[in-house]
Amino acid sequence: MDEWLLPIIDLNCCTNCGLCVTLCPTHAVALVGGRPRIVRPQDCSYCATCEDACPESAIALVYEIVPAPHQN
Amino acid sequence: MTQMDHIQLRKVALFAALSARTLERVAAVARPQHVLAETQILLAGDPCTTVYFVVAGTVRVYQLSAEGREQVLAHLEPGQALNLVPALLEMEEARNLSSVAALTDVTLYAIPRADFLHLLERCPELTMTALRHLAARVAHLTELVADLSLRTVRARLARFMLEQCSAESPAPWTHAEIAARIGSVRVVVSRTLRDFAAEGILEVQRQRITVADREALIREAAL
Ligand code: SF4
Ligand code: SF4
Repeated sequence: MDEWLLPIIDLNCCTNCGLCVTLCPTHAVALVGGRPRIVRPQDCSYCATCEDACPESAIALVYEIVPAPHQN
Repeated sequence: MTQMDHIQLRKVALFAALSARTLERVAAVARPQHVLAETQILLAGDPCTTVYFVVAGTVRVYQLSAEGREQVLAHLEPGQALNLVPALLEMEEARNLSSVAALTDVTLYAIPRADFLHLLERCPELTMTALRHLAARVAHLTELVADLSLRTVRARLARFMLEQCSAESPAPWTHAEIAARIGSVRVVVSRTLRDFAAEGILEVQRQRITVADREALIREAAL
């Protein structure tokens, strides 16, 4: 999995409160038409500030779990 | 039923080794359904009317606590059945035990409960396969109960990481999903992962968690 993963936003749970937008240190997430979107994917540092702050657990970072290369 | 349906049904563990004659009887009552990601397939507590078999995509089997906390019980992949246990209960007890939602776009084959029970009565080879399948489920759940009651979150997380490392097609996980899977909460999983990283057991880079010290993780899992 070499794609550049981004935080996933569950718009069914999101209340559009904008906290993730206010707290994101890189301004990677912004409200577009009142809804949060990752607007600058290249700037997202995957710091998890948005995930830690979201009151609805609507935004989350995903991880792949892999063995160290020499253990393959 | 087309030849394609027969090929798809052979992907289901329960049907893979059936004779052509028995598969024909299964195919006569099975209907394909295509479901988009995030669609709710079953709700816990609703009457169990249908047994499903996954042939493409992944579904999430979960239950909600009174506070709305999601406990993921399983991710079911192609070949696996869902709703088999409640389908076998007495009519008045036959309610979906868990909720199920599509994690990805999914193709399922649906067999009405009454037709499935009829098949089991008529096809001993299908009945034996179903019994073996259920025995494997009981063994897995017994292990899960032991895990929840006897092991710390640290040990459960260590075991989960080891399992994922050896998974054939590793799925990406959020901390909340890991928490739901091991019977914990997101903040505790995040903190424990940070502890493992600080101890050099794991390395966390952007979207990848690498098991740096497998031996240490095995020791943790055994605690
Ligand atoms: S992970 Fe960090 S950088 Fe990326 S969107 Fe969330 S707060 Fe912003
Ligand atoms: S903090 Fe959560 S609920 Fe608020 S806008 Fe962001 S994702 Fe939506």
